Amino acid sequence: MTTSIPKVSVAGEHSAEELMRLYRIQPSHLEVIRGMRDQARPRINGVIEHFYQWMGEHPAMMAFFESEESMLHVRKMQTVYWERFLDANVDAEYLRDRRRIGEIHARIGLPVMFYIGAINMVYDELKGIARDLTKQETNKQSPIHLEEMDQSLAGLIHLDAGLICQSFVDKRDQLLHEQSQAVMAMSTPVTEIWDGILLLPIVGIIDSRRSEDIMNAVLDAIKHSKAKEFILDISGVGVVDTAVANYLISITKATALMGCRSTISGISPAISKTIIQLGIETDDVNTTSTMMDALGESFANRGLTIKRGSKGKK
Amino acid sequence: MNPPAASLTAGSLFSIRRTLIAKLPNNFDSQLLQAVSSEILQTVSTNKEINSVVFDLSNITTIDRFDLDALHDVMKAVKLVGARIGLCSIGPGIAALIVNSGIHLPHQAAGHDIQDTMDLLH
Repeated sequence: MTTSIPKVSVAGEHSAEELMRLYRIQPSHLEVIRGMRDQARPRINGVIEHFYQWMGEHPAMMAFFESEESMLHVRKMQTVYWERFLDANVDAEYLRDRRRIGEIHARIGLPVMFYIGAINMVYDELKGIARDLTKQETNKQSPIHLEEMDQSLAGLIHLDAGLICQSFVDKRDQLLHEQSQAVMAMSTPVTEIWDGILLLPIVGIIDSRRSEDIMNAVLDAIKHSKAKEFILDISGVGVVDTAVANYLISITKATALMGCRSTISGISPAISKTIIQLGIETDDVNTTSTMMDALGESFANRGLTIKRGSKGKK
Repeated sequence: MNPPAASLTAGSLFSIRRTLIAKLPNNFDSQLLQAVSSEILQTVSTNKEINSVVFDLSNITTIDRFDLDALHDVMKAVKLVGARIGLCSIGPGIAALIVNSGIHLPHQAAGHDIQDTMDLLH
Protein backbone atom coordinates (compact mmCIF):
# COMPACT_ATOMS: atom_id res chain seq x y z
CA MET A 1 0.00 0.00 0.00
CA THR A 2 2.79 2.42 0.75
CA THR A 3 4.28 4.40 -2.09
CA SER A 4 7.96 5.17 -2.22
CA ILE A 5 10.89 5.72 -4.49
CA PRO A 6 11.68 2.33 -6.06
CA LYS A 7 14.94 0.77 -4.98
CA VAL A 8 17.34 0.69 -7.92
CA SER A 9 20.43 -1.43 -8.34
CA VAL A 10 21.88 -1.55 -11.83
CA ALA A 11 25.60 -2.06 -11.19
CA GLY A 12 25.09 -5.44 -9.57
CA GLU A 13 22.93 -6.86 -12.34
CA HIS A 14 25.59 -7.58 -14.95
CA SER A 15 28.16 -10.33 -15.24
CA ALA A 16 31.81 -9.80 -16.25
CA GLU A 17 31.06 -11.28 -19.69
CA GLU A 18 28.15 -8.91 -20.29
CA LEU A 19 30.19 -5.90 -19.27
CA MET A 20 33.12 -6.93 -21.44
CA ARG A 21 30.72 -7.15 -24.39
CA LEU A 22 29.18 -3.77 -23.47
CA TYR A 23 32.58 -2.08 -23.39
CA ARG A 24 33.81 -4.02 -26.43
CA ILE A 25 36.71 -5.55 -24.50
CA GLN A 26 38.20 -8.64 -26.11
CA PRO A 27 40.32 -11.16 -24.18
CA SER A 28 43.21 -9.96 -26.36
CA HIS A 29 42.82 -6.45 -24.88
CA LEU A 30 43.24 -7.86 -21.39
CA GLU A 31 46.28 -9.78 -22.63
CA VAL A 32 47.78 -6.50 -23.86
CA ILE A 33 47.30 -4.90 -20.42
CA ARG A 34 48.77 -7.94 -18.70
CA GLY A 35 51.69 -7.66 -21.13
CA MET A 36 52.33 -4.13 -19.80
CA ARG A 37 52.11 -5.24 -16.18
CA ASP A 38 55.75 -6.10 -15.39
CA GLN A 39 57.10 -2.90 -16.82
CA ALA A 40 54.25 -0.65 -15.67
CA ARG A 41 54.02 -1.90 -12.07
CA PRO A 42 57.28 -0.25 -10.87
CA ARG A 43 55.93 3.04 -12.25
CA ILE A 44 52.63 2.94 -10.37
CA ASN A 45 54.07 4.83 -7.41
CA GLY A 46 55.25 7.52 -9.80
CA VAL A 47 51.76 7.73 -11.35
CA ILE A 48 50.20 8.06 -7.89
CA GLU A 49 52.79 10.68 -6.97
CA HIS A 50 51.77 12.70 -10.06
CA PHE A 51 48.16 12.16 -9.11
CA TYR A 52 48.70 13.80 -5.71
CA GLN A 53 50.62 16.66 -7.29
CA TRP A 54 47.72 17.15 -9.68
CA MET A 55 45.25 16.92 -6.80
CA GLY A 56 47.21 19.55 -4.88
CA GLU A 57 46.24 21.96 -7.63
CA HIS A 58 42.57 21.27 -6.84
CA PRO A 59 41.93 22.10 -3.16
CA ALA A 60 38.27 21.05 -3.41
CA MET A 61 39.46 17.47 -3.91
CA MET A 62 41.93 17.66 -1.03
CA ALA A 63 38.99 18.46 1.26
CA PHE A 64 37.97 14.80 1.05
CA PHE A 65 41.06 13.72 3.00
CA GLU A 66 40.47 14.17 6.69
CA SER A 67 44.06 13.62 7.77
CA GLU A 68 47.53 12.61 6.72
CA GLU A 69 46.68 9.13 7.93
CA SER A 70 43.59 8.82 5.74
CA MET A 71 45.58 10.09 2.77
CA LEU A 72 48.21 7.38 3.34
CA HIS A 73 45.47 4.77 3.55
CA VAL A 74 43.87 5.95 0.30
CA ARG A 75 47.27 6.00 -1.36
CA LYS A 76 47.81 2.38 -0.38
CA MET A 77 44.38 1.48 -1.73
CA GLN A 78 45.15 3.26 -4.99
CA THR A 79 48.30 1.19 -5.42
CA VAL A 80 46.24 -1.98 -4.93
CA TYR A 81 43.62 -0.60 -7.35
CA TRP A 82 46.07 0.01 -10.19
CA GLU A 83 47.94 -3.24 -9.60
CA ARG A 84 44.62 -5.02 -9.94
CA PHE A 85 43.93 -3.01 -13.07
CA LEU A 86 47.21 -4.20 -14.60
CA ASP A 87 46.39 -7.81 -13.63
CA ALA A 88 43.36 -7.31 -15.93
CA ASN A 89 41.56 -10.28 -14.48
CA VAL A 90 37.96 -9.16 -15.03
CA ASP A 91 35.88 -11.58 -13.00
CA ALA A 92 33.10 -11.34 -10.42
CA GLU A 93 35.57 -10.41 -7.69
CA TYR A 94 37.01 -7.62 -9.84
CA LEU A 95 33.50 -6.20 -10.44
CA ARG A 96 32.69 -6.43 -6.73
CA ASP A 97 35.83 -4.48 -5.87
CA ARG A 98 34.97 -1.70 -8.36
CA ARG A 99 31.39 -1.49 -7.08
CA ARG A 100 32.65 -1.21 -3.53
CA ILE A 101 34.76 1.79 -4.54
CA GLY A 102 31.69 3.46 -6.05
CA GLU A 103 29.82 2.89 -2.81
CA ILE A 104 32.66 4.44 -0.80
CA HIS A 105 32.62 7.48 -3.10
CA ALA A 106 28.86 7.81 -2.59
CA ARG A 107 29.24 7.51 1.18
CA ILE A 108 31.88 10.22 1.44
CA GLY A 109 30.04 12.34 -1.13
CA LEU A 110 32.93 12.53 -3.63
CA PRO A 111 31.49 14.25 -6.70
CA VAL A 112 31.55 12.06 -9.84
CA MET A 113 33.08 15.04 -11.65
CA PHE A 114 36.22 14.78 -9.46
CA TYR A 115 36.42 11.03 -9.87
CA ILE A 116 36.23 11.24 -13.67
CA GLY A 117 38.84 14.04 -13.59
CA ALA A 118 41.14 11.80 -11.57
CA ILE A 119 40.59 8.83 -13.87
CA ASN A 120 41.32 11.04 -16.85
CA MET A 121 44.56 12.18 -15.26
CA VAL A 122 45.71 8.62 -14.51
CA TYR A 123 44.66 7.49 -18.00
CA ASP A 124 47.01 10.12 -19.46
CA GLU A 125 49.82 8.76 -17.28
CA LEU A 126 49.12 5.18 -18.38
CA LYS A 127 49.12 6.25 -22.00
CA GLY A 128 52.55 7.80 -21.36
CA ILE A 129 53.77 4.47 -20.02
CA ALA A 130 52.25 2.72 -23.04
CA ARG A 131 54.07 5.12 -25.36
CA ASP A 132 57.38 4.35 -23.68
CA LEU A 133 56.71 0.64 -23.93
CA THR A 134 55.86 0.74 -27.63
CA LYS A 135 59.15 2.50 -28.26
CA GLN A 136 60.89 -0.46 -26.66
CA GLU A 137 58.63 -2.90 -28.54
CA THR A 138 59.74 -1.69 -31.99
CA ASN A 139 62.85 -3.86 -31.70
CA LYS A 140 60.73 -6.99 -31.14
CA GLN A 141 59.52 -9.39 -33.82
CA SER A 142 55.79 -8.78 -33.28
CA PRO A 143 55.52 -5.43 -31.47
CA ILE A 144 52.33 -4.25 -29.79
CA HIS A 145 51.21 -1.04 -31.41
CA LEU A 146 50.35 2.05 -29.39
CA GLU A 147 46.81 2.12 -30.83
CA GLU A 148 46.16 -1.40 -29.56
CA MET A 149 47.52 -0.54 -26.11
CA ASP A 150 45.45 2.63 -25.99
CA GLN A 151 42.30 0.77 -27.01
CA SER A 152 42.93 -1.87 -24.32
CA LEU A 153 43.58 0.69 -21.59
CA ALA A 154 40.58 2.81 -22.62
CA GLY A 155 38.24 -0.20 -22.63
CA LEU A 156 39.12 -1.31 -19.13
CA ILE A 157 39.32 2.23 -17.72
CA HIS A 158 35.85 2.94 -19.09
CA LEU A 159 34.50 -0.31 -17.69
CA ASP A 160 35.94 0.62 -14.29
CA ALA A 161 34.54 4.15 -14.48
CA GLY A 162 31.14 2.89 -15.63
CA LEU A 163 30.92 0.39 -12.78
CA ILE A 164 32.10 2.84 -10.14
CA CYS A 165 29.76 5.61 -11.33
CA GLN A 166 26.78 3.23 -11.58
CA SER A 167 27.50 1.84 -8.15
CA PHE A 168 27.77 5.45 -6.90
CA VAL A 169 24.34 6.24 -8.37
CA ASP A 170 22.84 3.02 -6.98
CA LYS A 171 24.15 3.80 -3.50
CA ARG A 172 22.84 7.36 -3.67
CA ASP A 173 19.44 6.07 -4.85
CA GLN A 174 19.42 3.63 -1.96
CA LEU A 175 20.24 6.42 0.51
CA LEU A 176 17.51 8.58 -1.02
CA HIS A 177 15.08 5.67 -0.78
CA GLU A 178 15.91 5.17 2.89
CA GLN A 179 15.64 8.89 3.61
CA SER A 180 12.33 9.05 1.76
CA GLN A 181 11.00 6.16 3.86
CA ALA A 182 12.19 7.87 7.05
CA VAL A 183 10.63 11.19 6.03
CA MET A 184 7.39 9.44 5.13
CA ALA A 185 7.30 7.69 8.49
CA MET A 186 7.90 11.00 10.21
CA SER A 187 5.35 12.86 8.10
CA THR A 188 2.58 10.33 8.79
CA PRO A 189 2.98 9.43 12.46
CA VAL A 190 -0.30 7.59 12.92
CA THR A 191 -0.37 6.79 16.63
CA GLU A 192 -2.80 4.75 18.69
CA ILE A 193 -3.13 7.19 21.57
CA TRP A 194 -5.70 5.08 23.39
CA ASP A 195 -7.30 1.72 22.93
CA GLY A 196 -9.15 2.00 19.60
CA ILE A 197 -8.29 5.66 18.99
CA LEU A 198 -5.80 6.72 16.32
CA LEU A 199 -4.38 10.23 16.03
CA LEU A 200 -2.54 11.79 13.13
CA PRO A 201 -1.42 15.41 13.55
CA ILE A 202 -0.24 16.89 10.25
CA VAL A 203 2.13 19.82 10.07
CA GLY A 204 3.44 21.60 7.00
CA ILE A 205 2.55 21.37 3.36
CA ILE A 206 0.32 18.59 2.05
CA ASP A 207 0.55 17.71 -1.62
CA SER A 208 -1.16 14.89 -3.49
CA ARG A 209 1.73 12.52 -2.87
CA ARG A 210 1.68 13.13 0.87
CA SER A 211 -2.12 12.84 0.93
CA GLU A 212 -1.84 9.43 -0.69
CA ASP A 213 0.82 8.40 1.83
CA ILE A 214 -1.44 9.60 4.65
CA MET A 215 -4.37 7.58 3.34
CA ASN A 216 -2.26 4.44 2.98
CA ALA A 217 -0.70 4.84 6.42
CA VAL A 218 -4.06 5.51 8.10
CA LEU A 219 -5.88 2.60 6.42
CA ASP A 220 -3.03 0.22 7.23
CA ALA A 221 -3.03 1.41 10.85
CA ILE A 222 -6.79 0.83 11.09
CA LYS A 223 -6.40 -2.65 9.65
CA HIS A 224 -3.76 -3.57 12.24
CA SER A 225 -5.17 -1.80 15.29
CA LYS A 226 -8.88 -2.30 14.50
CA ALA A 227 -9.34 1.26 15.74
CA LYS A 228 -12.87 2.64 15.98
CA GLU A 229 -11.91 6.31 16.06
CA PHE A 230 -9.47 8.29 13.94
CA ILE A 231 -8.56 11.92 14.48
CA LEU A 232 -6.86 13.86 11.69
CA ASP A 233 -5.60 17.15 13.08
CA ILE A 234 -4.69 19.65 10.38
CA SER A 235 -4.28 22.75 12.56
CA GLY A 236 -0.63 22.84 11.42
CA VAL A 237 -1.57 22.99 7.74
CA GLY A 238 -1.83 26.40 6.11
CA VAL A 239 -3.35 25.74 2.71
CA VAL A 240 -4.67 22.87 0.62
CA ASP A 241 -5.51 22.64 -3.06
CA THR A 242 -8.49 20.93 -4.71
CA ALA A 243 -6.88 17.52 -4.99
CA VAL A 244 -5.68 17.55 -1.38
CA ALA A 245 -9.04 18.74 -0.02
CA ASN A 246 -10.72 15.91 -1.90
CA TYR A 247 -8.16 13.48 -0.56
CA LEU A 248 -8.78 14.54 3.05
CA ILE A 249 -12.49 13.93 2.62
CA SER A 250 -11.79 10.62 0.88
CA ILE A 251 -9.67 9.52 3.84
CA THR A 252 -12.62 9.97 6.19
CA LYS A 253 -14.89 8.02 3.82
CA ALA A 254 -12.40 5.18 3.43
CA THR A 255 -11.88 4.89 7.18
CA ALA A 256 -15.67 4.72 7.62
CA LEU A 257 -15.81 1.79 5.19
CA MET A 258 -13.31 0.00 7.42
CA GLY A 259 -15.46 0.58 10.49
CA CYS A 260 -13.55 3.53 11.87
CA ARG A 261 -15.17 6.91 12.52
CA SER A 262 -13.05 9.90 11.46
CA THR A 263 -12.89 13.41 12.80
CA ILE A 264 -10.96 16.21 11.15
CA SER A 265 -9.90 18.81 13.68
CA GLY A 266 -8.28 22.21 13.32
CA ILE A 267 -9.56 23.17 9.88
CA SER A 268 -8.39 26.77 9.39
CA PRO A 269 -10.79 29.43 8.04
CA ALA A 270 -8.79 29.51 4.78
CA ILE A 271 -9.03 25.75 4.27
CA SER A 272 -12.69 25.81 5.24
CA LYS A 273 -13.37 28.44 2.56
CA THR A 274 -11.39 26.46 0.01
CA ILE A 275 -13.39 23.30 0.68
CA ILE A 276 -16.71 25.13 0.34
CA GLN A 277 -15.66 27.08 -2.75
CA LEU A 278 -14.58 23.84 -4.38
CA GLY A 279 -18.05 22.42 -3.80
CA ILE A 280 -16.73 19.38 -1.95
CA GLU A 281 -19.49 17.38 -0.25
CA THR A 282 -18.86 17.61 3.50
CA ASP A 283 -22.17 16.49 5.02
CA ASP A 284 -20.77 13.16 6.18
CA VAL A 285 -17.54 14.63 7.50
CA ASN A 286 -17.23 15.01 11.24
CA THR A 287 -15.20 18.06 12.27
CA THR A 288 -14.16 19.83 15.46
CA SER A 289 -12.34 23.10 15.93
CA THR A 290 -9.57 21.68 18.11
CA MET A 291 -7.80 18.42 18.66
CA MET A 292 -8.93 18.56 22.28
CA ASP A 293 -12.60 18.60 21.21
CA ALA A 294 -11.96 15.70 18.83
CA LEU A 295 -10.29 13.72 21.61
CA GLY A 296 -13.20 14.45 23.91
CA GLU A 297 -15.67 13.16 21.31
CA SER A 298 -13.63 10.06 20.60
CA PHE A 299 -13.29 9.22 24.28
CA ALA A 300 -17.04 9.70 24.71
CA ASN A 301 -17.77 7.45 21.71
CA ARG A 302 -15.57 4.79 23.27
CA GLY A 303 -17.46 5.13 26.55
CA LEU A 304 -14.52 6.76 28.28
CA THR A 305 -14.63 9.81 30.51
CA ILE A 306 -11.78 12.03 31.57
CA LYS A 307 -11.75 12.98 35.24
CA ARG A 308 -9.35 15.22 37.05
CA GLY A 309 -7.55 13.19 39.70
CA SER A 310 -6.66 14.37 43.16
CA LYS A 311 -3.14 15.35 42.04
CA GLY A 312 -4.63 17.59 39.36
CA LYS A 313 -6.68 19.70 41.79
CA LYS A 314 -5.64 23.32 42.04
CA MET B 1 -13.41 -23.11 -14.76
CA ASN B 2 -15.41 -21.56 -11.89
CA PRO B 3 -17.87 -23.83 -10.05
CA PRO B 4 -21.55 -23.05 -10.60
CA ALA B 5 -22.70 -19.91 -8.80
CA ALA B 6 -25.31 -21.76 -6.76
CA SER B 7 -22.75 -23.99 -5.07
CA LEU B 8 -20.63 -20.96 -4.17
CA THR B 9 -23.54 -19.09 -2.66
CA ALA B 10 -24.64 -22.04 -0.60
CA GLY B 11 -21.50 -21.91 1.52
CA SER B 12 -21.23 -18.14 1.69
CA LEU B 13 -24.72 -17.32 2.95
CA PHE B 14 -25.69 -17.96 6.55
CA SER B 15 -27.66 -16.24 9.24
CA ILE B 16 -26.82 -15.23 12.78
CA ARG B 17 -29.88 -14.30 14.83
CA ARG B 18 -31.74 -11.75 12.68
CA THR B 19 -28.85 -11.00 10.34
CA LEU B 20 -28.04 -12.66 7.05
CA ILE B 21 -24.29 -12.80 6.36
CA ALA B 22 -23.09 -12.86 2.76
CA LYS B 23 -19.42 -13.75 2.62
CA LEU B 24 -18.16 -12.93 -0.85
CA PRO B 25 -15.29 -14.91 -2.38
CA ASN B 26 -12.32 -13.06 -3.86
CA ASN B 27 -13.07 -14.16 -7.40
CA PHE B 28 -16.72 -13.18 -7.44
CA ASP B 29 -18.21 -11.96 -10.69
CA SER B 30 -21.51 -10.46 -11.78
CA GLN B 31 -23.01 -13.92 -12.40
CA LEU B 32 -22.25 -15.00 -8.86
CA LEU B 33 -23.53 -11.70 -7.49
CA GLN B 34 -26.73 -12.18 -9.44
CA ALA B 35 -27.23 -15.55 -7.77
CA VAL B 36 -26.32 -14.16 -4.34
CA SER B 37 -28.67 -11.26 -4.88
CA SER B 38 -31.59 -13.54 -5.75
CA GLU B 39 -30.93 -15.71 -2.73
CA ILE B 40 -30.61 -12.77 -0.34
CA LEU B 41 -33.76 -11.10 -1.65
CA GLN B 42 -35.66 -14.36 -1.43
CA THR B 43 -34.46 -15.01 2.13
CA VAL B 44 -35.20 -11.49 3.35
CA SER B 45 -38.69 -11.42 1.84
CA THR B 46 -39.71 -14.90 3.04
CA ASN B 47 -38.04 -14.90 6.46
CA LYS B 48 -39.48 -11.98 8.37
CA GLU B 49 -37.03 -12.57 11.21
CA ILE B 50 -34.18 -11.31 9.02
CA ASN B 51 -33.95 -7.54 9.21
CA SER B 52 -30.36 -6.92 8.13
CA VAL B 53 -27.76 -8.18 5.72
CA VAL B 54 -24.03 -7.95 6.31
CA PHE B 55 -21.70 -8.21 3.32
CA ASP B 56 -18.43 -9.71 4.50
CA LEU B 57 -15.64 -8.57 2.17
CA SER B 58 -12.75 -10.11 4.12
CA ASN B 59 -11.81 -12.36 1.19
CA ILE B 60 -11.79 -9.57 -1.36
CA THR B 61 -8.31 -8.37 -2.27
CA THR B 62 -9.08 -7.01 -5.73
CA ILE B 63 -12.23 -5.82 -7.44
CA ASP B 64 -12.81 -4.10 -10.75
CA ARG B 65 -15.21 -1.28 -11.47
CA PHE B 66 -17.71 -3.55 -13.22
CA ASP B 67 -18.01 -5.89 -10.24
CA LEU B 68 -18.09 -2.97 -7.83
CA ASP B 69 -21.06 -1.55 -9.73
CA ALA B 70 -22.73 -4.97 -9.59
CA LEU B 71 -22.18 -5.12 -5.81
CA HIS B 72 -23.60 -1.62 -5.50
CA ASP B 73 -26.75 -2.74 -7.37
CA VAL B 74 -27.15 -5.80 -5.15
CA MET B 75 -26.94 -3.65 -2.02
CA LYS B 76 -29.49 -1.16 -3.39
CA ALA B 77 -31.88 -4.00 -4.18
CA VAL B 78 -31.49 -5.46 -0.68
CA LYS B 79 -32.13 -2.06 0.84
CA LEU B 80 -35.33 -1.71 -1.24
CA VAL B 81 -36.79 -4.86 0.31
CA GLY B 82 -36.39 -3.26 3.71
CA ALA B 83 -33.21 -4.77 5.14
CA ARG B 84 -30.56 -2.75 6.88
CA ILE B 85 -27.17 -3.14 5.26
CA GLY B 86 -23.79 -3.62 6.88
CA LEU B 87 -20.29 -4.02 5.51
CA CYS B 88 -17.47 -5.73 7.29
CA SER B 89 -13.77 -6.58 7.04
CA ILE B 90 -12.98 -4.26 4.15
CA GLY B 91 -9.20 -4.10 3.55
CA PRO B 92 -7.26 -0.84 3.06
CA GLY B 93 -6.87 -1.34 -0.69
CA ILE B 94 -10.56 -2.04 -1.29
CA ALA B 95 -11.60 0.90 0.93
CA ALA B 96 -9.37 3.27 -1.03
CA LEU B 97 -10.63 1.82 -4.31
CA ILE B 98 -14.31 2.23 -3.39
CA VAL B 99 -13.78 5.83 -2.28
CA ASN B 100 -11.68 6.73 -5.31
CA SER B 101 -14.29 5.21 -7.63
CA GLY B 102 -16.85 7.72 -6.31
CA ILE B 103 -19.41 5.01 -5.57
CA HIS B 104 -21.51 5.59 -2.44
CA LEU B 105 -22.51 2.22 -1.07
CA PRO B 106 -25.94 2.37 0.61
CA HIS B 107 -24.85 0.82 3.91
CA GLN B 108 -25.93 1.85 7.39
CA ALA B 109 -22.91 0.42 9.18
CA ALA B 110 -19.37 -0.75 8.52
CA GLY B 111 -17.35 -2.71 11.04
CA HIS B 112 -14.07 -4.52 11.50
CA ASP B 113 -15.75 -7.91 11.64
CA ILE B 114 -19.20 -9.53 11.59
CA GLN B 115 -19.86 -9.07 15.31
CA ASP B 116 -18.73 -5.45 15.23
CA THR B 117 -21.04 -4.71 12.28
CA MET B 118 -23.98 -6.53 13.85
CA ASP B 119 -23.50 -4.49 17.03
CA LEU B 120 -23.61 -1.31 14.96
CA LEU B 121 -26.71 -2.40 13.05
CA HIS B 122 -28.79 -3.41 16.06
